[in-house]
Amino acid sequence: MTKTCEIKKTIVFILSESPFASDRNYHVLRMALAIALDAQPRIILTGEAVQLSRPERRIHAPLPDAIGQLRLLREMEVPVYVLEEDLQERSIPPDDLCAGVHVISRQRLAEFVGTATLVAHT
Amino acid sequence: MNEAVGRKIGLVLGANPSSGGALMAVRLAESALANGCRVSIFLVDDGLYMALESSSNKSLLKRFQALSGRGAEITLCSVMLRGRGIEASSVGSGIELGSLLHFAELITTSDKVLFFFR
Repeated sequence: MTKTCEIKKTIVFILSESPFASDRNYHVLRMALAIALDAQPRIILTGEAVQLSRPERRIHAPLPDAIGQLRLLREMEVPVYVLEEDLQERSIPPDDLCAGVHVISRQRLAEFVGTATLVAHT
Repeated sequence: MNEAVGRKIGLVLGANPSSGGALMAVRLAESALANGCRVSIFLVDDGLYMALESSSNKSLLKRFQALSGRGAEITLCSVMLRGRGIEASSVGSGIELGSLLHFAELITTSDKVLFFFR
């Protein structure tokens, strides 16, 4: 009997909206959760969405719902990345991020996009 | 022979009805069907408003319903609909109420998937 090995689709979700402005990030992260078993999602936080990479104690506003979804994704070992230059623009130190969030350069982002099956910029 | 025939195109539409992305998605779906592709559309986020009888862009809703009549599968996320306090009875005919399970199926079964959030 021939064994087949199905390659899972790699899906890069690029979030850039402020988590305080709308619930878009929350819904997009729910979508990433929904496919986490059937595909390989990757979450990239850019622009104002980098606020989601901060520990909850550092967020001086009502916690957006997206925080909980992101925590679940990290617990499921879905890779979560944050763009280095967008952290710098907002004076967020890279050593003060949630556990499991990785800082990447724009070049690395381009590599992820280049090798992904799908890219969703939300 | 047209290589696109029979291929499945998945469209995830989260853009609001007045955006360029929404119009582009509908145009693309119409063309894909005309080319012999199968089309599956999943409405999320602001894209939900496209499916409502009270939509600000009724011509787009009619084009959606025409797509459904030609065989496109159009589903929306009913959890997001409820989250926005919208009654299921507001959804236009030809558009099915679904869940993120439909989204997962669209992702895994489509040959190409495009996202429209702007």
